[in-house]
Amino acid sequence: MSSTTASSTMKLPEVKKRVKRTWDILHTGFTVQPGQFEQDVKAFGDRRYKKTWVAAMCRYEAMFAIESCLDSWMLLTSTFAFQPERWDYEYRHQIFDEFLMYPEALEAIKTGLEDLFGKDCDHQERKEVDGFFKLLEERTGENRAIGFPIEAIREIGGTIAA
Amino acid sequence: MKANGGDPECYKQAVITETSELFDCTVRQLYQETGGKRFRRETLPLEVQQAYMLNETLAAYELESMEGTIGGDDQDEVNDRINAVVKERSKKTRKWLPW
Repeated sequence: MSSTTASSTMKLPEVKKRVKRTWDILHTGFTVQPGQFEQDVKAFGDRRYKKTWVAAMCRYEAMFAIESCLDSWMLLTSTFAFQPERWDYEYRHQIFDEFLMYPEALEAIKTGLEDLFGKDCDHQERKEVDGFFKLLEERTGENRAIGFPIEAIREIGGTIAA
Repeated sequence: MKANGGDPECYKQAVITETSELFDCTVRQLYQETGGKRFRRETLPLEVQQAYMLNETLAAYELESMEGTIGGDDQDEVNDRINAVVKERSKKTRKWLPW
């Protein structure tokens, strides 16, 4: 449905549209002052450059992930279970980096893993976490590893799911 | 939600929408103000859990009856239409709640 895929780099107008959309959702229920959006984006740099908007987009997507999180396992089976056909696939690592800046981020992931592999989640939900494991795998060996041994988690998951 | 074409963004948007409509606050505030353990719905007060459960069941039922009819020109439009259903449902549910 979305016109943006991983194989196509997002163009500036699409990035801007995404930033505004996510910003609006994050302000649901709040009174917004005129010019507040422009002011907020300005904090990321010069608004003439795409990198400024990409930085804002990744920050707001991470904020969207944490501020909408009612059940931590949804972060692993949906929010961060990136697939190549998703519009945000291209920026998955930058979004996840921003997410990890939150002090509660690792706790959220840990809680999600406990829920998925320790409780009554079904086989399908455990299968949906594969996109998240792949994201972690891609980060192994970079400076982006999060400290969880991914193979060990997979093994535990496989044992429980079997 | 998924059967109607909603993507992961749609789900997140729906959580923010229903929380705002049902409780007049954000998810973060809800956990903070009720003393729940963040990211664990089962630690929220029972009335809160029940309100979510009721609203989500009814919203899912309404969306199920609309399957194949929601449509939209792009993903954002599909998500917005699904969210409009969630918002309307949440407003109705709110009227039954004691707060």
